Amino acid sequence: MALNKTSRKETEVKIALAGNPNSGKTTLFNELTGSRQHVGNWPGVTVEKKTGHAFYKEYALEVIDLPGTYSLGAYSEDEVVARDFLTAGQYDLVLDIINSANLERNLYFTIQLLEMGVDLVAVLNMADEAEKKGIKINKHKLSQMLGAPVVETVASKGRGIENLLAETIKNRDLTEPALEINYGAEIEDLITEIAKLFMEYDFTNQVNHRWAAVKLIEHDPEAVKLLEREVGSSKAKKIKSLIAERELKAKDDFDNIIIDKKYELINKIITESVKAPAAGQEPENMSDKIDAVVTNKYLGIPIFLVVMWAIFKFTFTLGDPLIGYIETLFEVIGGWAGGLLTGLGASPLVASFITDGIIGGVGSVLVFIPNIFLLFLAIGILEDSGYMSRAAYIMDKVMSKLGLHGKSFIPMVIGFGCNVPGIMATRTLENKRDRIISILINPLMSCSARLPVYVVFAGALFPNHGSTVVFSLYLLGIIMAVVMSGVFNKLLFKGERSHFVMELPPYRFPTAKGVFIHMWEKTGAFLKKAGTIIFSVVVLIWVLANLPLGVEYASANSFIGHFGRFVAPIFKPLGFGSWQAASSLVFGILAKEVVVGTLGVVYAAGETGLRTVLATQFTPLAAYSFMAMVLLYTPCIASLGAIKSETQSWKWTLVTAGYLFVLAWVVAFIIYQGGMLLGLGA
Amino acid sequence: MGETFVLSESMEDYLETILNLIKQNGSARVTDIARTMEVAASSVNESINRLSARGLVEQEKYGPIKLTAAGREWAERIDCTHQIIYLFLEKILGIDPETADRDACAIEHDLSQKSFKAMVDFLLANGHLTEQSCALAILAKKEEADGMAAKEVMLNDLAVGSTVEVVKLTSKGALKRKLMDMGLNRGAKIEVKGKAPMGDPIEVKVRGYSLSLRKKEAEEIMVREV
Repeated sequence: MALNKTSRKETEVKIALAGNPNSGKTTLFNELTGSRQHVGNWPGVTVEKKTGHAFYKEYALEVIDLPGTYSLGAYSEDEVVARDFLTAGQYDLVLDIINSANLERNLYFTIQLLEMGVDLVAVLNMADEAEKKGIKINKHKLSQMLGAPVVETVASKGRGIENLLAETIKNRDLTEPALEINYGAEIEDLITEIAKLFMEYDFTNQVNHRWAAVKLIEHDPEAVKLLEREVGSSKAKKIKSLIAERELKAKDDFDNIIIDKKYELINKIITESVKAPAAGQEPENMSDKIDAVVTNKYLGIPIFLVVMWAIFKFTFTLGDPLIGYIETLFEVIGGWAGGLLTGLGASPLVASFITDGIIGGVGSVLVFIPNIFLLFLAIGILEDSGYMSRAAYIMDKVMSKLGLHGKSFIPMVIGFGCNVPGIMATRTLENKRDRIISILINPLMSCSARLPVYVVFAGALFPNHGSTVVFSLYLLGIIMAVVMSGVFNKLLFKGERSHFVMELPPYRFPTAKGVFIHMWEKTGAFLKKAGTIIFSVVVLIWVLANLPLGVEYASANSFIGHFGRFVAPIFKPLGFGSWQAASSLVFGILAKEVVVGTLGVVYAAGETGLRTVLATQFTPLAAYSFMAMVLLYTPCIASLGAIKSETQSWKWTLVTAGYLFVLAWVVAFIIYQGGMLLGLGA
Repeated sequence: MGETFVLSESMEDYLETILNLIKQNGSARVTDIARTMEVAASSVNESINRLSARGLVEQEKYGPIKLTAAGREWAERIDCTHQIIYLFLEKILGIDPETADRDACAIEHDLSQKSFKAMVDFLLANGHLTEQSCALAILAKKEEADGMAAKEVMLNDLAVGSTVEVVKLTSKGALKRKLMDMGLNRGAKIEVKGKAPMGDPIEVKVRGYSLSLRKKEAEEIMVREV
C-alpha cells in the first residue's frame, strides 16, 4: 500500500479494529486492552473514539477502535470517520473483525477495505457461533482468495487472542496490492479514462486512485468533495459529467453494477472456502425461537412493558437510597469541614463557600452516579443480549409517527426518572438526527425532581384534586414532546429522512466484562464532561446568592434577589410576577426541586409553612401556570451538562435551554390568560 | 431490457437496415446505410448517434457500426414482424410481393402484439411457418416477460413466510445505498420472517441474518416470488 505508515520505534505497533456492528469488535477490543482504555471523541463529530494499549512480548500495541459500520460509504458520520481514518493511513495494520456466523455480509465490508488498499488481518471472530450453525470455513483457502492472513478467535471467551497478537506482530509490515474487482467493460473503460484525467489534472492524493475512481462512479459525495479539493471544482465537474454521460448511455445504474459485482465476488469466495448446511438443513436457531415469543403479536408489547418497568425500578428504586447515602455523606463532610474551618478561625462566609459552594458543588455532581451506574448496567445488558434492537422494533411504529426512531423510546422512559441518564441513553441511537431530536425533547419528560414542586403547589391550592393536577402536568410534558418533535423534524432536519433498516442481531449472553466496562465508561464520561459544568454553575450561583458581602443567602438584596426583581415583570402576564417566584426559578436551574427550598427561604416560611404562604400568594390558576413553567422551562444545569457532553456542541445546548424557556413562557401565558378569559382567575 | 422505451419508426428502420447489411456483407458502414435507405450520410450519422446514446449500436470512430445485444434483439424483432406481415399478405391474401413488402414496411412498427400472435397462429395452422420461426421465439420471450411482470410485487405487500428475490430498488440516494449495503441488492433472496406487534416494521432474513425495516422502506423494494 502506498500510504505513509507510521514510523516509530521498531517495537511500537499501531493497529485499528474495523468491522460490522455485532461482530464482537468491542468485545475483542476489551479483551485486547482490558482497562487500559481511553474514551474520547473523533474531532468535530459526536462519534465516540476509543483507544487502548496492548502488550505482546517486547511489543507495545496502540489499538484504535473504529466505529462499527456495514459499509465504507459516506452516508453516516460513523462511516465517514472510519473511512477518513483508513485513507489517512496513520496505522500499521488493520484487524478486520468478521462475524464468522455471517460471512456473506461481513465480507462485503472486508472487500471494501481491500479495495481501498488497506493492509489487514481478517479476524474470524465468533468462531463458536459459526460452529454451532454447522459452518466450516477453510481458512487457508479464504486467506488465499482474500490475499490477507486469516485468524480465528472467540473474543467473548478469550480464545485465539494470543495467536491474534502473534499474527498482528508478524504482519505489521504487510504491504499487499489493493484488490481489483473487474466491473465489466463499461465501468472498466471509464475507470481507465478517469485515471488518465487524474494524471492530467495532477490528482496526487495518497488514496488508492482506482478506489477513488470507483467511488466517483458510485456518486459518493465524500469522493466528490475530495476531488474538488484536489483539482478544483471546474476540473472535478468535467470528470463528473463524463461519468454522468456514460451512465446515461449505460443500460443500468453504475452503483447497481458495482454492488452486484462485489456480491458476485463474495459468493465466489464463499462457494470455494465455506461449507455450510444446505437450506432447510440448518440446526435449530435459538434466536428465532426467542423472537417468536418476544416479538409475538400478543406477547411482544406486554413483555416490552415489563422490561421497561424493570429497568425503571432497577435504576431508581435501587439507586435512590444510594443517592440518599451520598447526600448524607456530603452533609457530614460539609458539617465536619464547616466545624473545622470555624475552629481554625475562618470567617462564616469562607466556611460557607467551602462547605455549601465547593463541597455542595461536588456533591451535586456525585448524586447522579448511582442512577447512571445502574441505568447503564441495565442498558449494557439490553444491548449485549440483543433485546435493545427488539425493543426498538416493537416501539418503532409509535415512535416513527412522531418522526422518531424506535430506539428513542427508552431514553424517554428513563427521562421520567431523571433527564441526565435519559439524555445519556440517547447514545444508542446511531443516526445523528434521531439522536439530536431525542435529546432536545428529553427534558419535557417530567423527571422525579419536579414532583416535589407539584406536590407542594397542588397540596396548597388544589387540596381535593392534587393527583389529577399532577397527572395533567405529566401529560402536558408528553404532549409538548410530541409537538416539539414534529416541529424539530420540520424545522431543523427538513428533508432528512430517518430509516429503520436495522440488523436484529442474534440473542447472546452478555459478558460481565463488557457490561462493566460500558458502565465505567459512561459514568467516567459524565463525571469528566458534565461534572465540570455542573460544578462551576453551582459555585457561581452560590457566589451570586451571597454577594454583595454581608447579605443574607438568597435574600432580596443579594445579586440573585436583584436579578429576580429585574426579571419578575417577564412573568407578570403568567400570573406570578413576584421577585420571589422569579428568583426561585433562577435557583431551579441548579435542580428543579430547589425551587421549593428557595421559595421556603425567600418567603421565610421554611418548607413546612410554605403551603400556607403559597395559598395566599398564588391563585389556583397562577399556581397551575407556575407548575407548567417549572415543568417546561430551561432544564437543570446537570441536564444541560449532559446535553453538552452528548452533542459535543454549545449550539445544541443553548438551543435546548432557549427553546424550552420560550415554550414554557408561551404555554404558561396561554394557561393563565386563557384561564382568565374563561373566568378561572378567582 | 430495451422494451422499456419506444423508438421512432425511422430509428427502427435504421436498426433493421443495419441488421440486414451485417447479414449480407458482414458489416454496416455509414455509406452503405445511406445508399440502402436513400438518405444523406449526415442524417445517418445523426441517427447513429441517437441509437448509440440508447445503447443499441456501437461505433468506433470512422469504423463500421455494430449492434449491441439490445440493438440486435430490437432489430430482429422488427425484422421478424416484417417477415410475418409479408408472409400473411402474400400467402394468405395473395398480394403481389412488391406491394406486400412495401405494406409490411409500413405496418411493422405499429402492429399490436395481439394481431401479431393471430397472424403467426394462422400461418402456423396453414403450414406456412415452421416451429423454428423467429416469431415463436419472440412470442415465447414476451410471454415469459409478461408472466414475470405479473408476479413482481413490493416487499411490503408480502405475507409472513414468503420467500422472494429482489428485482430492483425503486428508491434513490441514501436509502437505496443503505439497503444495498445491508445486502438487499438485485438477486438477493429474502424470507419474510415476521411483523412487529403493531404490524410495522417487518423482519426479513437476508444473506444469513435478520434485518428489520419499515413498510415504507419495504415499499421501495421490488421482488418476485421464487
